[in-house]
This record gives sequence, C-alpha cells and structure tokens, in this order.
Amino acid sequence: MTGTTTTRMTYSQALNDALRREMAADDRVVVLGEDVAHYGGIFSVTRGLLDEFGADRVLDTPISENGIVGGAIGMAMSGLRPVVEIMYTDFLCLALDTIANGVAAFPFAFNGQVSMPIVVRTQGGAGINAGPQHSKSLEAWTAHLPGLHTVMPSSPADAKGLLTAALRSDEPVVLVEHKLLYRSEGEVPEGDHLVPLGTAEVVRPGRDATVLALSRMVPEALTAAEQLARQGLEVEVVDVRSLRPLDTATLAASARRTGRVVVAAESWVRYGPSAEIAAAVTELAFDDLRAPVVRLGSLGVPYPASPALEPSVLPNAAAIEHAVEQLVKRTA
Amino acid sequence: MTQTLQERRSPLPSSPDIDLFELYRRMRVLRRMDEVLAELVAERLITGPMHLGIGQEAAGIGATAALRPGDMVTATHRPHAQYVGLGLPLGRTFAEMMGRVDGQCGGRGGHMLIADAEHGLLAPSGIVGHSLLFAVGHGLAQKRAGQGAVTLCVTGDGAVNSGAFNESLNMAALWRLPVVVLVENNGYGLSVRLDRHSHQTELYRRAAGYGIPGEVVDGNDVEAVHQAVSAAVARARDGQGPVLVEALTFRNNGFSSSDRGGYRDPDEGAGVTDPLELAARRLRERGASVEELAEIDRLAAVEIDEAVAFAKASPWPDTEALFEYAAKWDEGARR
Ligand SMILES: Cc1ncc(C[n+]2csc(CCOP(=O)(O)OP(=O)(O)O)c2C)c(N)n1
Ligand SMILES: [Mg+2]
Repeated sequence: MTGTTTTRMTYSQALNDALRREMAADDRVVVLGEDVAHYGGIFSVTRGLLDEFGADRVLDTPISENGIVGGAIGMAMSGLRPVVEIMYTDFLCLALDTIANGVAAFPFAFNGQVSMPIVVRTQGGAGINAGPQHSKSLEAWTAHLPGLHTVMPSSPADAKGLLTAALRSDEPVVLVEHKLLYRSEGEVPEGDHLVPLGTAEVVRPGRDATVLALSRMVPEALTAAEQLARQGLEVEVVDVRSLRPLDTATLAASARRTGRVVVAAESWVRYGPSAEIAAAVTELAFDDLRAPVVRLGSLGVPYPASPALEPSVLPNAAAIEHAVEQLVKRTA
Repeated sequence: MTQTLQERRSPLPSSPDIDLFELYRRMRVLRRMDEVLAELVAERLITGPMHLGIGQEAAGIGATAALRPGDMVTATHRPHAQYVGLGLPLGRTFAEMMGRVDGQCGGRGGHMLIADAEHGLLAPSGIVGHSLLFAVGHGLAQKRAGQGAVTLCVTGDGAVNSGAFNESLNMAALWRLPVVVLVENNGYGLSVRLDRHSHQTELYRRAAGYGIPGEVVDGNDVEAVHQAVSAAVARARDGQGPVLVEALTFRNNGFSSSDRGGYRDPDEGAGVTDPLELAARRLRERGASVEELAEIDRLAAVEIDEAVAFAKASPWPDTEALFEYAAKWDEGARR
C-alpha cells in the first residue's frame, strides 16, 4: 500500500500530511487539542488544518486534558473519529483516567457495542533541558493497557504511515512523538502510505548483535551501528515502533540470528518498555541467546533541567556502541 | 554554596504599608530581570523553555506585597514576579535558570521550578492547575496551625479551565481555608484567546459558584492589586475563607521562548497601560523627581547585573549526585 514516489519532508510535515489526507477522505475525522487550531500546534503538526477544514473539525480546547479525552470517548461513541493532541506526554498523566477507564476498556466491556476510533497524539522525551515536568517518556503506562495500541514512529515515513494506520483503525491508538524528531527529515512516500500497527521493522541488517530500538533511539542505534561496522561488527537494528501489540516474531527472529541483544529505549529502565521487550525476546529466543539481554535507558532520576546534568541521564549512540562492544567481548 | 552571597537583596515582603516607591522598585527589578533573561536565552546561556512576564509585573508584585513572613505562595510556569516579590536572592535564581550549582535547586529545576522554602515559595509548578491544588493543602495546614498564616495561590486565565480549579476552589471554600487565589488574566492561555477557551470571560464571576467573594482589579495598577489582595488576605487571616481576585493584564512578550507568533493582532497591545509607566507617572504626580526614579531604575539594573555575574561565576553541578540518587531507585545504575 506504499506509494512509489517520495518527497523529502520533516517528521512534523509527515504527520501533518497524514492528518490532512485522512481529514479530506473522511469527514468524521475531527482534530482537537490545546493550541491546535489557530496556532497550528506547538510543534506545527496541525498547521493549516483549521483553514482547510473549518472550526467544527479543528478545535482549540481549554486546558482540560481529561476533559478532551473524555469528550473524545463520547465523540467516538456517537460516530466521529477524534484525533486528540496532548501537548506533552507529561500532561497525558491528567488524561490517564479516561484513557485507562474508558478508551481502552469500553469496546471490550460493552461487548462490542461500541468501537473507539480515537487517536491520541502526544509528544515526549528529553534533550532540551526542559526539566522534570516536560521530558518524560511514559509510553509504558499506555502500553500496559489491553485494548489500546501504543506506537512510536522514529522517522518521517513511519510518522505518516503509523498515523495513517491509526486514523483508519477502529481501535484506539496512542501515538507518541519525540520532541527531538520533529525537525528530522527523510523521504516520505506520497499518496497513501500505511505502516501496519503492531509491526516492527529491521532497519539495518547485521549478524553479530541486535539492537532493538524505540523512537529517538533508532537513529542513535543506526549511528552506533555505523561506528561498530568500522570495527568489523555487523549490528542489526530493529525499530520496535509498535509497543503493543508487540511484534515479538520479528524481534525474536533477529535475536535468534545474532544471539546478542541490546534494547535501547529512552524511558527509565525499571518497569519501562525495555523490560517487556527483553522478557518477550528471552521467552522466545532463550536457547539462541549467548548472554542476558542488555537494557539501556534513562538513569533512574527525575529529568534534571541543567544542561550539565541532563546528558548524563540519557542513553545515546555512544552508550549503545559501548554496550554492544561489551556484549560481544563477553560472548566472544 | 560555592560563593558567598554578597548581592543586593529585595527586602522581605512584610509591611502592609509598602509604598508605591517600593512597589515600583520591585516591578523595575522584575522588568529588568526579564529583559536580561531574554538576552541570556538568545545567547544560549539559558537553555530550555522560558516564560517571561513583561507587561504583567503589577499583578504579581502587588499581590506578594500583601503577604508577611510565614505565609505561603504557590505559583505557575510564569513565576518570576513571585521570585522578585518574595525577595529570593536573585543571584541564586539566575544560577538556577542557568543550570548552575548555586541555584536554589542546584540546577535541577530550571526557571519554572524554583522552590524556595525559606521565602515561602512552595512551589511554582509547570503543570497548569498545580498551584491551586497545593494551595488547598497549605491552607489546611495553616488553618490547623491557627497562626493566621495565609496562602497566595497564583494561577492564570487558562488554568481556570483545568479540573484542578474546580476541585481546589470547592475544597478551599468548603473548608474555609485561608487561601487567596490570584487569577492573572492576560487574555490568553498559551495561544488561545480568552473568548476561545472560556464562554464566561469575566472569570471573577466563577467565585459565586463556590459561594466565595470574587472581584476584578486592574492588573496593571500595582496599587489596586496590592489593595485588593491585602483585603482578601486580611479576610483569610481572619478565618473567613478564600477569595478569588482576577487581575486583568497583558503579556507583552511571547508565551515562551518558542512562541512562533501569528495568533494575535499586532495592534492588540497598543492601548494597554504599562504597569511601570503608570506607577512612575503616579510617583511623579505625588512629587517624586525624575532623578529619584532614574536612581531606582539604575539600582535595579545594578542588582540584576550583580545577580547575573554571580550566576555566571557559579560552577556546573556535579553529576555524581545523580548516580548516588539513582543507586537507591535504580540499583545497578549505569555509570
Ligand atoms: C496540564 C497542563 N496542560 C498544558 C500545559 C501547557 N501549557 C503551559 S502554560 C499553558 C497556558 C497557561 O495559560 P494561563 O493559565 O493563562 O497562563 P499564562 O501562560 O497566560 O501565564 C499551557 C497550555 C501544561 N503546562 N500543563
Ligand atoms: Mg493567560
């Protein structure tokens, strides 16, 4: 379903492209959130949509996160397809009630009488010295809920493809963007472009070790793999991209091929998505693993604002490179 | 502390008869602070988001001037008026904003999370609505202690639509807590104009729904704010419960350092009273000389220059503490 020609665009533009196309194709799609209409979203993702689709389809909301998602539940039950923007994943905390107790629960609990074609777009991650209330990665919280997809695009093409798939899905999706990726550029298929929910992708093949990476850690892992290639180590990089459902088949197949696995996710390590990924790979590929799965993530402290402190908390390409080297050494 | 603090400091907020000179001086320090902060952001000596309040000085300064030591303040992502109004040592405050070790929070909090227990600022928070919630707790503690202390809760026009506003106002009213809620109404919640986020744009009217007094003041008139908040504070100290004061003002800068603009009419600020100009005009009418006012301005600039110099000389925090902290919560933490 992927178009043949591509255009170079940013991650924000790719998201905007997906929204615009789906809104044009389906007038049940309604965008709502703080600052999304007149301003076009603080990361410019909804720019131009108000002019193109009008005020009854693009709504600036009050600062009422739980209210917005709660409203979206009603909209979905009444036949609309709401797309909610929650400005920071840190503020998604205020809407966890309606997400956990409504969005994720109702299609099952009401025995199929309702579906929840709701997309919650949010944005997380550190790296701009924004401090403890504007830097977190909390995708594990929504991925914990059965009945809800949680996806994290790492490239402009996947941003468009995953958002398009999310908008067409009758199941609810939380799409977590990364603040440092909005300006990243890449080739994006024109026209219809879907990345199926629930699929991982091998973005660089290799035989010596596997890095299972999420969101911004994917480009970091690719940088590490390039460095390691100079030392003759062929690292396979897999973009996990869907946290739930988790594409365990693709992840485990890579683990079996290389026997060495590093999971790189920006969130805190303990109880984070890397715990689930490591467990799944271990369960499925234990016999082929040459060492326990290694997890890389943020140090267990609230994100400090100081530019002198924040980098020490975050995983990066160098940390991935080091982890792979150590793993290979240990299992040579 | 790696440096001895030798900077000029604003006096503690104290007497209810602080005069217009002192209010003007505090506003001038605050204005200068924000102007210099804009430069420090441009020079990338401060990174991370930054929310200035140029044009809004009277609301915050007038309100904190109604407090006395022992009172509490909760604040928002735009908290510089509270930093100046409560007399925080500004060298440390600049150091915090620059991520340095001498900051009140050792560089961990950044510009909008400067807690200062000694000065009764517990705390500003970058999550819209938090200041209201914390104020309920302070109010309960103050009521129980029975010493007549009050809490000033600063919040914004955007924040009145958070669930926290309803929950807090009801609890504060229900339990007759000594809380004064100052709604700094600058006409926008981030980019969203007041009439696009609230149907009832006269926000003080909401107080009636909780059965508490609500009033509106010219938020650019520092004396008017000071008077209104002083009356509310006196009432709260007297055990008569919360009051909501709406201060109408205007934000004369972007909502933050990342504002792309384009959402408001460029002429919107044209007829708006600048709070410093208004106060200066009044002082002149009451007999102050041009030289006296110029001296206040000069001293304000000196105070800020000294604070910035202090901050620039402050070392970076050591990462060791991060690993020590993580060792408890994240056993086996990577180095
Ligand atoms: C719960 C929550 N939602 C959204 C935000 C993002 N945000 C920060 S400031 C702001 C606008 C607040 O408006 P207002 O209360 O009027 O304060 P002002 O910025 O005008 O001083 C928003 C939406 C946030 N920090 N917290
Ligand atoms: Mg406002």
